[in-house]
Amino acid sequence: MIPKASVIRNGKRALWFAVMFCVLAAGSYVNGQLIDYVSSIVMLSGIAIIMAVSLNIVNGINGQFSIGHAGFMAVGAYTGASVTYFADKDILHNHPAGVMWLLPAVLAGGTLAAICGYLVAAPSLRLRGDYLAIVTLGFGEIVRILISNSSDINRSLKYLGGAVGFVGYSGAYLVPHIATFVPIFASVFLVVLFTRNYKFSGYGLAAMSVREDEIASEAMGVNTTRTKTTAFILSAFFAGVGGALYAHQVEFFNPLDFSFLISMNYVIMVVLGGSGSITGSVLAAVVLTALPELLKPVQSQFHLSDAYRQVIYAIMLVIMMLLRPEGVFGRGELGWKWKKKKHSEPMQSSERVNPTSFAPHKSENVVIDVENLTRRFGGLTAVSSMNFLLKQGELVGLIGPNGAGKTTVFNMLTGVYAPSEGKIEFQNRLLSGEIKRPPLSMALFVLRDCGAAAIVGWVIGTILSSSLIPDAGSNASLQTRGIIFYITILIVVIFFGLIPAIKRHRNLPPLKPHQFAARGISRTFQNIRLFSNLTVLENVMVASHLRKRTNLFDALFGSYRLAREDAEYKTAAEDLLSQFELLDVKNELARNLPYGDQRRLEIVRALATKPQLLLLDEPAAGMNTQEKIQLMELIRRVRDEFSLTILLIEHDMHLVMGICERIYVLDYGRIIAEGSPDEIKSNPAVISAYLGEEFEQEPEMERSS
Amino acid sequence: MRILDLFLQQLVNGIQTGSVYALIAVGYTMVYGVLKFINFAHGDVYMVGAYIGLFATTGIFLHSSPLLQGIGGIALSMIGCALLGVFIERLAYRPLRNGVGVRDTVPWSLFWSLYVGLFGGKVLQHSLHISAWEGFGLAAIIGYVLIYPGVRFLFRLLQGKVRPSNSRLTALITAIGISLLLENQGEAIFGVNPQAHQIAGFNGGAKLGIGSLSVRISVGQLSVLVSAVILTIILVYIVRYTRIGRAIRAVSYDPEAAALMGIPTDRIIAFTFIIGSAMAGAAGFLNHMLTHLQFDTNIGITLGLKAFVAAVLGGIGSIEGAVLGAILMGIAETFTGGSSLSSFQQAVAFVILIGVLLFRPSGLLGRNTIEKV
Repeated sequence: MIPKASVIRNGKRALWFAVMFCVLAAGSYVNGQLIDYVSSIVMLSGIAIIMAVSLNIVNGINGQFSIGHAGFMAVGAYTGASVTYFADKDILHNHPAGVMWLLPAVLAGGTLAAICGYLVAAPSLRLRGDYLAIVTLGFGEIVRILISNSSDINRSLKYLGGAVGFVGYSGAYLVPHIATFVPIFASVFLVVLFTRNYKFSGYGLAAMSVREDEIASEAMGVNTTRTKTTAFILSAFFAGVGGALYAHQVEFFNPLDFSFLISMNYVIMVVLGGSGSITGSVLAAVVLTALPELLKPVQSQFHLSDAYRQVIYAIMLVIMMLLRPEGVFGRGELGWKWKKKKHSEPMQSSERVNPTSFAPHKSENVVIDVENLTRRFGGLTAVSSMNFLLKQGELVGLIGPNGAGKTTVFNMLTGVYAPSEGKIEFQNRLLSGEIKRPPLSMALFVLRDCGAAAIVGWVIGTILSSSLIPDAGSNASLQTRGIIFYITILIVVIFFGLIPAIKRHRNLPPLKPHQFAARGISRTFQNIRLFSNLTVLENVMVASHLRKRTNLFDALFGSYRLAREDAEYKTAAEDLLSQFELLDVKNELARNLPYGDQRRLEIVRALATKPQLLLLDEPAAGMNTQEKIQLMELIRRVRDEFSLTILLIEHDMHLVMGICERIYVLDYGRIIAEGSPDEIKSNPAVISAYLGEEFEQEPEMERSS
Repeated sequence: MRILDLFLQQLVNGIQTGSVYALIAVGYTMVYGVLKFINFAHGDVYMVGAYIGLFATTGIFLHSSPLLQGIGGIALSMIGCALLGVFIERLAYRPLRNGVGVRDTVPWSLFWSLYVGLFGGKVLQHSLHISAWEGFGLAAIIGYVLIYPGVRFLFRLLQGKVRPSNSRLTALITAIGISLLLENQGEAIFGVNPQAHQIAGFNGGAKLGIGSLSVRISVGQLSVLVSAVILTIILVYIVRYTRIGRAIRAVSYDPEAAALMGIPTDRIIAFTFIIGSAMAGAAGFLNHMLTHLQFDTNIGITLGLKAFVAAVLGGIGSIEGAVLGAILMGIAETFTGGSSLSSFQQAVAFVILIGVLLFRPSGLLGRNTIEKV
């Protein structure tokens, strides 16, 4: 089997260069030749490419949902125009070197947009799906409205022009027309190149794993919050660059150029081009910018009003969505072909394993020590005062009826849920439990929250006081205004700033799952949570994010350091896959694997984080007898070869009794028994709560659970 | 006490504005409930409601009493918008959900025949000397008969070729397409000039006094408020206490399980569109025919966005939440409008929204859902 994907990936770099070079060459040629109308459309589609590709970082690659991209563009445009507004006008207009001013303008625009991106992302990226979309939508609208009323904020902002459009200095030039072909297409080239490098780097892989499954991604050690924030900032930066270029291309612009509909236009480009596909975004941006212009002759031919051009566009959009819901160009880059392949051979020849034949190499080192672990959901106590400890190299089972709280225990051991009470000590380090925040750090956090509340209070106070006391003529009314104003601020700061902040910041925040993963706890999931649209190899490589030594700039510039590191991780991942006979299918999408292989891949993926403790959540679920026997062998092999400690949840008593050295039985959130398989089998409490009377006589019945 | 008077006055104005937002917001929240996507075309249904109201009151019911104008107008707006809503659902959202196939022939033939009516109608009107409406109808019918076989053939070819999409982005883009279509088609038909028309008899005002406090409220405002309250009560009754309401709630909880329990999900979704759109139509009529508020074909975007924000504010998926969010937003907007920050009136909705989402991500009355691992 030829590893197809990697061939295409390597070839793509060259292809990109070729395509972009052609565009540049054609552009510089066309520049002198074509009429202004056409060349301006070509340049605007260049800017649209920047916008669509940058939005694709968030919406396509990272799977988030931003619909306020024009807001960042507006920030970039106004910042960029402000920079050249303060530049030396003589050089700007009469000197060929005037174009150099574009560089600070573009960088300033991008930087401020990136800062805004951070401010939007930091608090709101913990919201999921549509809510994030609404916050970005709100941001876009707020930016537009703030600029429209800029002179009301501060007189010195009058040059922004408010709703009329950027005024700048009066005269022939509103904004200098310095963004011509070469700077625009150089920027397009760089943005596309950086985005491509990002997508195919470890950062991009982490971002895509977040898109596929955020919880699994955290469990593999990816700091999802940081990954999302990075993607968002990067995207905002490029949008700011696009905005600054736009300002210096069109020369005149107003806040309506960055309205909600414009944001939607970019979303449409990303979706039509296929979410995640950079090639698709580029093509869609060009087509959608040119399309309304191409419809112009149609419109004049039939003497239709201008609105009909939009009508035709809208109908085409709906029809395209109906016929190609995945986007016109599909999700992948340049037509990947995934061939369905016969699934790999079973791991090893299966032989009946004698339950007593293993040779445990135990030591007395305690790996994990859990004390008084409790978790409540509302009124329900899912796990209550649980104590247990696992020693190095042990293979322990956790059994109990459905709803006993087994998975909740796993979730606490991996940081998905913070325990309501109790502590988890892993390799003598406290992983969870109340840890007081140092006073200075707490003071800073409280100050920050109070500051935010004060801003909110200031707005509400201003609105309340000035709307209730409309005329500020007399001293008395001014005084009342002041009283209302300050009382409002005080109330807001105390009740929405101070009190919640003291409560929230008293203790250090609980560790996140990715931090648990980094400390050496890894897991599999009850219902398989593979990154289904990533390849088998990529699934395993996500874990390498934990040991990454390169930074974002390496990723963007595609540095040699990064290439070397990538190769290293790829070899390591391939090694691991080959140990589990999955190497043959490494370029297969995870969702195309047969069920048994998917289960196996999940274990391999968990091993890739190099854990000390492995938690397996019902690894045998849905397997047939043959597969279960193989699985038992696999688990034991994994434990021995990787010198792990394993805790597993399982309903299949043959498996549990066959390989576990010790078993905890959980019922209604409490441990009701602990001991060796033989002790458990004969424990009356366990029999009545879980195993049932028949277990001794008819073990086969148990499998149906 | 002047301050209290002013406060109360602003409050009443705010609640009145909010009640209109509420009527639109319930449509967003219901559709989001069953389909889990933002139906951006909903605001434009509101716009259509206002235009139907305009034609009803200045055309059909011109010489009737104000009361009949009001009742007839609102009924026509609601019926028209309900039909529009269900048409949109059949035209775009259902094929998107279930995959394109022969069963989509009727709405699409109807869609194209409307255009035949629009353009061919003028030709018939002049050559046969009939009224514009007759020309439109005749051309549309002829168009439908001619178009139907072709569309059917095309859909038969496409049947099974397109996999249905469950991507919410795709649904969102489709909704935006429909929204653009309605807006621009509206502009092409009704023109760009803003309209304003108040039914005579609704412009009087009254001063209500409670003790030493007094509030001015116009007949129009009061009627909007009262009608909105009645409609909301009817809606809540339908959703809470009827069989079909139970079906709607079941579908919004879990469409697949509902289908397995024998609920015809597609029909329930269509019904949801009917109710939601009728409410938006009523809002369009009330807000523009009973007060002096100007409107044009682009009104749907602004008002729709705000109503949507109100729905999110209250907790999307919850009808009570949508009403609460809408009223809070109306109040906040009115207060901002009367203050020294009045230029930022349009932004206040979004500021509140972001604030609430950061502290209560599921909205004021929304359920907090924890993803199961």
